[in-house]
Parts: sequence; structure tokens; C-alpha cells
Amino acid sequence: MTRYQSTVGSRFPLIDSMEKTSGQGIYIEDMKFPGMLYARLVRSTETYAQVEEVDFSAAQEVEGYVDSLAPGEPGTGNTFGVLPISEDETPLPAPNALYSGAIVAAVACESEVGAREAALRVQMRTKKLPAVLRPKDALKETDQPIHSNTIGGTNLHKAVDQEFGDVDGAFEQADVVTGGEYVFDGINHGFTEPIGCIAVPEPNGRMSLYSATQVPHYLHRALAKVLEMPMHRIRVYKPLVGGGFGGKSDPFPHEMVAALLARKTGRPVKLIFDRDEVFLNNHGRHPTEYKIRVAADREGRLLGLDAHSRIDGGAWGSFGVVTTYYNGVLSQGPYRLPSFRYSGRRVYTNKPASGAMRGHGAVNARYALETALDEMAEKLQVDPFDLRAQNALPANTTTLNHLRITSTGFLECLERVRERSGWNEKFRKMPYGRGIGLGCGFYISGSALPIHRTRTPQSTVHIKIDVDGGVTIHSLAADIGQGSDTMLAQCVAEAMGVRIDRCRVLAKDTDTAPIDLGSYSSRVTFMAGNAALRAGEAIFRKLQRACARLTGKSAEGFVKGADETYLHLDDPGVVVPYMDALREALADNGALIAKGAYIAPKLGGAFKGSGAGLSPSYSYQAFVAEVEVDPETGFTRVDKIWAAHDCGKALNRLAVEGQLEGSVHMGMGQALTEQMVYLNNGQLRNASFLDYKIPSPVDTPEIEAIVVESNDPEGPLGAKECGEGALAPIIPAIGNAIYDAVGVRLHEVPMTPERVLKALEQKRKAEEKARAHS
Amino acid sequence: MRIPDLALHRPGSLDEAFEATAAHPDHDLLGGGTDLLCNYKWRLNVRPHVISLRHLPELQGEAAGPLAAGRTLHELEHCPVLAQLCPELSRAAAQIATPLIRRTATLGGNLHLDTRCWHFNQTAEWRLAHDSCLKAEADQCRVQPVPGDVCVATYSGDLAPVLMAYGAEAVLVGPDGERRVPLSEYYALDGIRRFAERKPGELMLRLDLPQDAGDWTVRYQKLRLRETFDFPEGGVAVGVRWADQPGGEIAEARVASTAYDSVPRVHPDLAERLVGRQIQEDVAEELGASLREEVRPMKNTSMSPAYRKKMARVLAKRALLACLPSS
Repeated sequence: MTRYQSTVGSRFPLIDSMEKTSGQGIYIEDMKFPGMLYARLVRSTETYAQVEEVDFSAAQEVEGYVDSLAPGEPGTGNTFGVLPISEDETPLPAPNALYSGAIVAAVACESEVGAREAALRVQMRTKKLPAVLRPKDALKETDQPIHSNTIGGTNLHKAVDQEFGDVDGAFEQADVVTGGEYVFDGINHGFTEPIGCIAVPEPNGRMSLYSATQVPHYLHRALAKVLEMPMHRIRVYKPLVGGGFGGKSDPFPHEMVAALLARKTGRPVKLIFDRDEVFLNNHGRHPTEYKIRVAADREGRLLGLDAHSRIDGGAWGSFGVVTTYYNGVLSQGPYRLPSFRYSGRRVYTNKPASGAMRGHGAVNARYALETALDEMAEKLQVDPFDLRAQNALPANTTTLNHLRITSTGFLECLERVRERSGWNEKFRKMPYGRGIGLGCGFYISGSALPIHRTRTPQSTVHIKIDVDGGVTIHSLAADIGQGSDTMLAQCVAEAMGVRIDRCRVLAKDTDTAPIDLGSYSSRVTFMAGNAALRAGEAIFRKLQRACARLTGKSAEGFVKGADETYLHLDDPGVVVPYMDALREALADNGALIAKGAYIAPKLGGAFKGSGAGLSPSYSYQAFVAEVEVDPETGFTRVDKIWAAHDCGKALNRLAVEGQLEGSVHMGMGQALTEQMVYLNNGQLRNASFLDYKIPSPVDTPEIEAIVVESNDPEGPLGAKECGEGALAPIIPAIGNAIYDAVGVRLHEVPMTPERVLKALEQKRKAEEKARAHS
Repeated sequence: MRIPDLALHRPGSLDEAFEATAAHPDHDLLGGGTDLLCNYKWRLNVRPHVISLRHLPELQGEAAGPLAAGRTLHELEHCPVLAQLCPELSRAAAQIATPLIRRTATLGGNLHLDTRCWHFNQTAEWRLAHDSCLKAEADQCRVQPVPGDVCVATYSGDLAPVLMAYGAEAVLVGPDGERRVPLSEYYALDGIRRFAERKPGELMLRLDLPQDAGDWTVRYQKLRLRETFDFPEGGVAVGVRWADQPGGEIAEARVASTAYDSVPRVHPDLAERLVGRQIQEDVAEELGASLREEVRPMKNTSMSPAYRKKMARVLAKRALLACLPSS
């Protein structure tokens, strides 16, 4: 008898790849509704100002003008936000417009062209307020803080102070201390599909919102709050989403504005951003100032880590409280630390909000730590690989801040990337201008604590199967291009022993899907995947019982066979095809339904902030970059990247490699070219894909993705995250490679040619000065 | 992004084109549209009439010649005639924008590329918040606000300096017939006016290279952050004609730069100093240092003026060294 051939570990395209590549996939821009209006937002021309009056009279002259929404109208001042602890956003200014480009009002017209013209004609009367643009100024006392929830009469939004173990003692007894101060520019997600939504007031009085979002459930909650409607009167629908990376993981003001305009006009309202508006909405990686010190003894044992971050939150809270914690707590791995101190400060400024972005909170801190370790290895005269391996967190342990460590493939990541990159033959051995560097990482596989205090599972998956034999999977896990629909189908197919193409995933509609918290914190495979497996297993048990009824054999003796059959362990001659088992299961019963759910185990300590960084499991990385630096221009060319990542188990190897390559490419952008640049008046200068420099395919080197599998005991089929952790290590790997190539450490990221050249010039001057003195 | 309403004219002959330009003085000429229409989407100096040059047989097709103004950059990149006549032009064309854009963008369009500036190439809403700039809706330059100021937006075409190094002439045609202007005299140092030599209604037909173009070795160096997509932040073309053997004494030289001013320009004094010398490291260094002194980049592109100035030295040096046969 032939058993079921598992698809785990094989390579296959995502289940929605054909509809996307053929152009048949439906994105928000493709959708239309009868009588639909087009909305356009009017944005603030002031850096910080109280909006006193908005005048639509000139806009009303435009042909096809229908209506407007202005500050002060019902609902426009209701607060919302992704975190219940800092719900500080409002659909429209109440009454202050917080940054240049902030939404002030909206118009709705019969045509898009008309809406654009009308919006440009809107006049506003404002009273200027003293703007705060630099984080250090935001820490000063002020009469007019940007929000009412700030700390100590300043614009400080969140302060985190944590200390574990004897940090001062560790630094006193240390033989070697390294570290420094680093500055990181803010960066934007750069997803392909601009943000957009359509609000549809239904004839029965309900409100439907179609939106390109990563978090339908949080959007559902926020809409209910702002519209002051019960959740069951609201429906959120997510069409195909063209990338998110954290940039669609908040409920946003424009979604509220569209819904309010739809309610006001009684007509569907479509609102799609231009690219510059995506940048103005931002919620990207925080501009960060980071100070770090690392202590070790002369044998290379790490003794302590002392870190401080100041992060620029911009105008809103967003995920910022979490970001403030993550900048510290996610530095607790992949190394064993006997002592740890971290202080983090997040401030509000009059700029587009910062928020969550791929590798949330762990990326900038990681650059600082991995750079300090590279310096440490040099001072101790040990190989950077050996230093890291010596200090690796072991499996099945707990960190100082109570992160529970289960599976780890970190050492294997180190070994494989060292071997594949030819490290031993290259490190400190290549000619001037060529270099190789190592960067490692550690990331959560889903935040164990839900954002809202609730006993509802974090992921629930429903399955329905009827006489056609197709397996319909309902979930609210948001596929944003990362492949979560494919993952759900695969988990259910594995549990049931059927082909993946028998499964269809409806993960888009709050009316039909059970709650899933959405696509953020690298949680979907671990949490929704486990829920899907459990739902699939429940169906399998029903089918086992049906097989038993058909054959008179014991139900639990049936196992999955080849070609969608069930075999009996005691009697190899007994084979029940899936469709026969299904028909028996449906008889006298109707459609098969089943549910699976996932709740993270209770984790963590009893101290304040103990929830931050808790995850049912963690991913690990070791990356090597080989670069060529032109000492005359400062240009860094990345020749090759080797990226080893422990994803627990590769469910679909093609999808895992795609995520690793994508993460590396995105991290390379932050490392070398991407930065959000502001003028002195707070205006974002480079809000376009010509001026915001994402590396092109020509600039992207060969990336060798090395999949390491530690088989997580709690992950679905052994899997952990692979979508975010792989971004952070590439930045220090490139920085450390630049040091190997030309001997300079970059304290500003991105490491642009100008900055590399400046560092080289400073080094040359310092050497000349030293020679003059000797 | 939507292009505002406008009237598109598609003349099929030069006479129709002259009629259209005369009938609609407030017009823009449209080549590939990869520059102009992007600006229109941002409502930058939108004109009510756009006259397309895509249907004029004199500007495209085999008969119009290898350097007809309507040829696409893709055609320049892959043209076997140009590969013989002026290979560096094909190589420079291959470095412009992206493969998709090069399928549409034209030689004429690249030479007439609008000047660029932070304060200008922004959305209408952005400019409202910024009180705009001299080149758009306002009466003051935001880069160098001085009374009676001239626009200092940066010219960012790659082909002009290379053509200048080959000694190209622009062939213009108007209702009164054809005339020729050396490309190096075609532009005016003003980011708004831009052209010294174009009369109303005149079109650029093609570029002509001098008889001895094949005797010249030209090399172009381009500064930009990414190896595709980006406009130059600095560009230098160096051309030499050998007195005797390739790599030996220089009989004649030309040096041209782009992205350092509101026009592409030649540097005759620097070229003159190369005559009679052989290309060596110190000669190249000297050229670089001199060019660095001559360029005055403005704070209006993505890289800093200080860095772009420093790189003028490197670009010029490398361009000259690349003229050596061994390189």
C-alpha cells in the first residue's frame, strides 16, 4: 500500500500566482460599484497648525462635485489606533493638522479627474503652531504637545527602562568593551500597490469597507469605534493585496474618511493613494539614534549589553509602544547574556508617522549589536563566527527577560554560511577594497500576546466541504503576497491527505471568516497554520469515522494513502477513496464543517513590559555579504550574499527562498540607498520611486538562500517564521564587509557613497595626524 | 496620477507641424513623453496643446538617418551604424533610465529633457506647501533666492555631453528651412529658458557628426546611486583624436559635462590643455582637478553638491583614462 506523499519541503508556486501574473487578479483599484464616487484628500500645507476653517466654495465649482468632509463633522474627531494603549489618530484634524501632508479634509466627485481638481481648489485657514522636527527637541517641555498622552509635559510618547542582572558589575569586570553611537534614517516599506479602499453603504444600513489591508480584524474594530456602529453592522473585505511589509498593518485615517463620506453621501466612495501619499502615510521604520556597549571577558564570553534608543515616532502612536520595547528586548538573542540594560524613548514629531516595518523594532538595534560584536572579535583576535558560536543561546532555555527559547538552528546557520561563503579563505585576506562580513539575527515567530486583552484565540480557521468535494477554508489571515493562503491550503491538505488544488481559501471577508489577528509580527504561519492543521485534523477524524462505517474497520486505523485515499493499517487491502469517504460523511449530515484554533501558550515574567518580545518560537539567521568598495567614490557594490535562516521547517521551499531573497533585497536597500529625506520645514523631499532609492534588479547581487530546519516542536509541521527575521542581518553583514574591505565603520545608515567616502577621508586625516605626532 | 485635459495634435508632415505650432503658440512638443508627461501628471507647466512628433517621417525610420531626433534610445543602443560611428553614444544610451523607458524615449527628447530640481519635481500639493519655485508657480528661486534670479535647475541628459565630445551639430528645421548649430552652442544657461538657439516653431530634425567623428575616441562616465533608473548626478564625456598612434599624443580633445548646471556644456580650456600630451595618470588627475574647480553643482539633486563636485574629478579622470586603447 502506498502512503500519502507529503508536500512539505517541496517547491511549488503560490496558489494565487496565476491570477496575479495573468492580470486577472482583483485588487482594490480593479473594483467598481454602481454609483461610485471618487474621493480625494486635501492635505496640510503647514508643518503643524490648527485648522480653523476649510473652504470648499471654489471646489464646488468643479463639474461633478458632490460632497466634502471637513474637520468637526460627526465622526471625524473620533480616536482610533492599532494599539488600544495609544489610540491617538483621528480621521481628520481635531483640530490640529500634525504634519506637512497630513489629511485635513476630503472631497467626493463623480470622476477621479474632477476630485483631483476639486481638492486642489480647497482653501484652508490655519493658525500655525510651533513645530517639533528633531527627536531631541521633542524631549523638551512644551505648552503644546502634539498629543495629550505625552509624558512630563514633553512630546515623549513612550519610555522603557529595563535592567536584568548586574550590568554595572559586568562592565567593571569586563576585559573588552565595544560599542558606539549609530544613526538610522527612516525608511518606507515601498510596497508595489498603493494604499486604497472603497467604502460601500449597503441598502440595509450596513457599511462595507473594501481595503488593501494586512489587518482586516483591527480595521473592523477601528471602524466600529469611529463610525459608532456595532461591529456586526460593518463588513471588511480584503481583495488581493500588492505587498504590505507592515505598511498596511494599521487602521488608517483615509479608511475612516472614505467610510464617513460614504455614509454622508449614501454612495460608494473610492479612495486610492498616489505614491507620494503612500510616503506621507508612511508608518515605516522609525528614524533611530542608538547607543550600545557590549562587555566580554578575555575568553570571549559576553558579560553584558547596555543599549539606549531614541526613536522618532512622527505624528502618531501606531505600533510605536511595541517598537520602543522591541529595540531592546529583541537584542536578547541569539546570544546568551548574563546582564542586560535597555532604555528606549519614543517621541512624537511633526512628521509622517513611523510604525511597523518588516523586522519591526529589531533591525536598527541589530546593526548596532552585530557591529559591536565584529569590533569585539577584532579586539579579542578571534574569528567573528567563533565569537558568535561561543555565545549562542542553547535550545530549551530562557533568556534574562523570560523569552522562552525552544528550537534553534543558529549554530547550523553559522556553520553552513561559513562553509558556503568560503569565509576562512576570504576574511581579512582579500585585497584592499574587497571585503566580507557576517551579521546574525533573531526574530519572533508571532507575538504571543494579542494586542487586545481577550480570551478569543489569536487564529481560528473554519473548513466547509460539500458534495463537490472541494475544501473551502475560511480565515482572516491576510495574504499580502507572502503566501499565507497557500500555506493554509497546504496545512489543511496535509492534515486531510488531499491535493492542495482541492483546497480553496477564502481569507478576505469578516462576514464569513472567523477571527484572525492579521499579518504582522511574523505570526501567520505559526498561528493560523496551527489552526488550519487542527481544523484539517478534525475533518480527517470525521472521514476516518466514515471510512469505518463503510468498511466495518476501526476508525483510528485509517491513515492517509496515495492519490487521495485512506488505507487501513491492519488490512492493506482496504482502500477508501476520499470522495467515497466524503459522501458517507455527508449522508444524513450535510456539509462537513470543522474548526481549528490557536492560542499561544502563557509565557513571560511578571515585570512591566514582560509581554514584549514573547513568542512561541524564534527564528535565527547568519548572513555573509561580500562587497567591493571603491575608495575613490565611496560606492559599495555587493557581489554576493549567503543567507542562512532557521525557519523550523520549510513547508514550501520555493516560498521560503522567495521570502529570504525578498528580505535580503529590502535590507540591502536600507543598508545602502534608502532614506526618507526631509527639508527644514518638515516636508518630505523624496516621496517618489525615482527619488526614494530602492535597489534595482541590476544592483541586486546573487543571493544564496540557505534553509536551515530545526523542526520546531510547536510550529505547524515544524515551521517557524521566514518573512521578517531575514531582513536585519544583511545590514550589519554589509557594514562589517565594508570594514573588512577598507577599514571604516559606518555610524550612519544607509551607508551611502557620500558617507563611506566621508568615513574614509576622516580615517585618512586621523592617520596623517597620528603620523605627524609620531 | 492622471494627465490633465489637453488637446493632442498629431501632424503627419513638417508643414502640418509648422501649422500646428503656429496655430497653438501655447504648446509643448511631444517625443516619447517619458519626461513631459510625468511632469504633466504633477501639473508642472501644463500647456493646453501638445504636438506629437511621432508621425513625422523626417524624424524617424531608416531614411531619417542614424541620429534622427525621433529615434528611440533603444534604437540608439542597438544600432549597428552607430556602433561603428560613435559607439560611446550607444553605450551612454544604454545607461539611461530603464529598458522600458528606452523603448519609448527619444534622442530628441533626451536632448530637450526638462531641467530638474527638488523644489520643482514635486506634486502640485507639495509645491503648494512650499510656496513653489521660480520654474513653476512662484517668482523666486528656492535654491538661490537672489533678486532677478535665474533658474538653476539641473540638466540631466546623458546624450548631450557625449554628442558634444563627438563634435555633433544639431540640424533644425523651421518654416524658413533648415539650419545647423553646434550642439555645444544650442543651450542657454537658464533652467527655464534652456535654449539659446531655438526659434519659435523650429524642430530638431537630427544630429550630424563631423566627417572625422570615426577618428575620435570618446568615453563617458556617469555618477548615480543605482545602476539603472537614476538620472546622472554628474556626467563627464571626454573625446580625443590621436596625433598618430592610439594611446599616443593627443592631437585634439573635447571635454563636456552634464548634471552640473542647467545645461550640458563643453570645457574648451580643459580640452585645450590635453593637446600635445599623452594620457597618463598625472594628466588625468590634472584634468579631474581642473574640472572639479570649474563645476558649480547646486543643492537640488539627491547627492550633495560637495560630493558631486568631488566626483567631477573622478569622472573626468576615469573618462580620460578610459580613452586609452588598453582600457
